[in-house]
Amino acid sequence: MKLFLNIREALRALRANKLRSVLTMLGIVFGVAAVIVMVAIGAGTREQIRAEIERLGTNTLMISPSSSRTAGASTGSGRRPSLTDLDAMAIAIEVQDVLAAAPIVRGRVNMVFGNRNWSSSVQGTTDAFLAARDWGLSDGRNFDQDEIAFGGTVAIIGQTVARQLFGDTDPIDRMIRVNHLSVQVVGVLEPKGQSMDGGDFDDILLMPLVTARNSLLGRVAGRAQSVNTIIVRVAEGISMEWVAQDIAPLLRQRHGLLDDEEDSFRIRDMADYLRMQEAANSAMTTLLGAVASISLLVGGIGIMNIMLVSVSERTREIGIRAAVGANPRDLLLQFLVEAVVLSFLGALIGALVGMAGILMSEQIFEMQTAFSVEAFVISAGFAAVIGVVFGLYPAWKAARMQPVDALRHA
Amino acid sequence: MIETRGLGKRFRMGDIDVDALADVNLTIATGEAVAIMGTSGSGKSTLMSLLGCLDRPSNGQYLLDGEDIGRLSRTRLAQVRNKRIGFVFQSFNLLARASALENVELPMVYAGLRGRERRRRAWEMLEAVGIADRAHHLPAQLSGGQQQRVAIARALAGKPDLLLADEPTGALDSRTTEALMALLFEIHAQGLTLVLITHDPAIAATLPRIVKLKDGRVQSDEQTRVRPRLVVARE
Repeated sequence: MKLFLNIREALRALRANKLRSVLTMLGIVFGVAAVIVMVAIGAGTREQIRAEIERLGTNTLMISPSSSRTAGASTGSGRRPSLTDLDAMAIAIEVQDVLAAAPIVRGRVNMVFGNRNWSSSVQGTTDAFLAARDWGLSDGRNFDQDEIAFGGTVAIIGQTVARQLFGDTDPIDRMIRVNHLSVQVVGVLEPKGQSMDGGDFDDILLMPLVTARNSLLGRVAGRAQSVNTIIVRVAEGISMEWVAQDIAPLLRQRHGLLDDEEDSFRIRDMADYLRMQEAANSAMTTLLGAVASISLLVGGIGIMNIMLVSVSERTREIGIRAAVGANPRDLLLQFLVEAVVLSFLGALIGALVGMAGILMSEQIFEMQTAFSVEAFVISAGFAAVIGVVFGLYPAWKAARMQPVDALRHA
Repeated sequence: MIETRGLGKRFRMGDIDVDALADVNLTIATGEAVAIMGTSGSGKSTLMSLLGCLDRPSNGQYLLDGEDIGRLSRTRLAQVRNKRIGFVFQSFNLLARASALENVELPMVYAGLRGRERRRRAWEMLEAVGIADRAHHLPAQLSGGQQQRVAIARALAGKPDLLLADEPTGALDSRTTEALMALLFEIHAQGLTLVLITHDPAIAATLPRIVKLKDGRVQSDEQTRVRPRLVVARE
């Protein structure tokens, strides 16, 4: 009951100095807003990374050629051996626990169907691609052995390409023009969605490696057999590191590297790569957290400052209350409640500002966020703690006054 | 009953100690009406603070109904003020942001009374001082006399047995003064001990006992044997 009266008194006192109260709250407002945005972005990024890992598969290795370096400067690929489609085949056959290894050459092409055209990324690969990426078909079929071996003019298209070129038309068995080549669509990939950097996984065209290399893109790194990447899928529950350690000597041997020569390739674990990105993101979260805590600290000091002013302005009121029977505890509680109400209102406004911030980062910066009730509860708790911590000293000053001195105060 | 034995209050002013009050021996029986007179600086306000338990004596003893006030904790002192003493000040000392009704409720809030009971009694008190129709006005919307009535209602709200009035009519004109003194006497007639501090001889003369202070000491303590009069004689 007394608490309710104290809150009413606090609101009254704060209303009596509206501008002052609002200005005092600002520190808390920004602090809490930062906390809420920070938590939302952090959670959103984590969620995104988790989804991306799920999409790419944690048991995928990416092998790409590495240019040799002398004292840090790239000397180009020069005469060094590059990755070939035969390397991919060798990995698939010789390394244990490898489920699939798909060589890939990449490039951009223009596609035309009817009066529509679309520009997209083409990946020349083998029938192993779907297994390597753990990617299914929503329609049609995979490439067959003949198409892979002899370079069939066939394609599998991603959802985005299908939508852009065909709209509502069924793309299976239709002929499209890819650059100057006439190509038959034999399959459509399942949707994968967006990648973390905003790229569209579904904006893709798959063609047999031979066709893409010989008829569309030309040679990679000037060699007939070169590829850009080999994607390796490893059996579930097998250490990626072990498989990578098995692949490395095989490739070194195939590339005829001497013992003192550097690897001509780089093996990356996708999950590692994503974890690194997560670490970079957590650095940003930490920064926001630092801003938030400094803002909250400054806000708390602001509250303490204004409460000290308030106590000294209301010395006479304190005297009156004491005269009619307020004991030191009553007075302490009154000013403590006022400080907490002040910081709590700040937290409430801050939460609203934070939600606006979340909406903004979603709409404008296209950041993925995950709003959490936890953040709300945490900031409310924070505000209460700040109110108590920074309100305690002014409230104690009020409680400690001698009634006679307080009454004498003008 | 009020009893002081060698009561004194010493303040430190810079380097020197000043006795605002020294060796005051007073006994005021329950139900008595006493005027305490003196010029400014005579120590009457200090005496009022001590009698009202707003301050602790630096010398001597103050016994309120046999209880040594100097020994009580601040919380106990607050309780004594809340339950046994009602204050009326020259400058009314109402809370500016609270309505008349809420001001009267204040002592009962600290006494821990529930809201309904508190409001009921506050209304009663406002009716008793004849200002119930202004219950929801803020102090600033009331005249001086009305404000003082609210203050008296507040002083009575805790059902005290001692009413301490410090220049209660000091800020009021003569007509309002008469009405207010009449109200105080009416309250006194119901059995409350009334201690009235004033520098105005005309007001002091309406009370049956006058204690005069000078330089912090009791100069005279006379029984005038008048019955508290309802009309103040003004020069």
